[in-house]
Amino acid sequence: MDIQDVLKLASAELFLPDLQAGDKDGVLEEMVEVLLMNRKLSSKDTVLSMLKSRESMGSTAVGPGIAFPHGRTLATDDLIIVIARSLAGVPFDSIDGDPTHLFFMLIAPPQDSGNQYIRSLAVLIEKLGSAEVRAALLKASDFEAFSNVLTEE
Amino acid sequence: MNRQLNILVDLQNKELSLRDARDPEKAKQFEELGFAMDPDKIQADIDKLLDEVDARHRGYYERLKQRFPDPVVPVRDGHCTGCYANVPTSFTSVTKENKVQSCESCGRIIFQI
Repeated sequence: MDIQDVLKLASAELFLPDLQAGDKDGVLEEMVEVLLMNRKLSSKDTVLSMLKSRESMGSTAVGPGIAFPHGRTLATDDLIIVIARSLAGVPFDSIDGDPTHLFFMLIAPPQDSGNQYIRSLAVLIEKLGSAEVRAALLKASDFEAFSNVLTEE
Repeated sequence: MNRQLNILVDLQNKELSLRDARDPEKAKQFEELGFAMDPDKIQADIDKLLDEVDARHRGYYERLKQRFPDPVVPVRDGHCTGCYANVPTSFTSVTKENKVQSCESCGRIIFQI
């Protein structure tokens, strides 16, 4: 699995280039809302509750300026990725205490073939380890530009 | 969604997390990525949620759990995703009335997603 495979699970419709939320719960709600709007879910409560529960075990903001809210839920059959960006930055209980700008939300089904869920997380974390990539993602104008940054060697 | 049903779905979601947290290989992979999972915390959350389920539904849920690893399942394309039996079309309208329902075939608690 590589970044191209991971990006197939995302889409322009599930990309939020400038989040309005100013806190952690707001970010999660705004990102889950886009799933509802695109008919990927019919109810947001179950997924929101799952994501908040995961955050309560420790923030998923594990990288500099990046967070990966994630978890398994009965509410989906397929792994879905929602990508969002906050230009202003949001306090997300990050390890370094800095605001978080980039959010990669992974909503995984109860069972996933080939361990796609964890492998996708691993691919994203590796790719976003580069400060150059992170800086370019903050400037990308749209989903296509965002994807191009991630797929560039 | 009916509050009791919502809790039951949350319970099942937490059981999914607990399954990952108790799977040595997956738990190790998550930990290496920086997402350590605490099975004791998840179990405590499950116990707390169980206390919020009313006695009737809790008893039914716990009996189901002895039979199935997935006592709560979604309905997709008119089928229970636990046993794949057809779910009567009346299910959707009754769901709208906010009732906890079970599959007529396998007995699992079902909900519409």
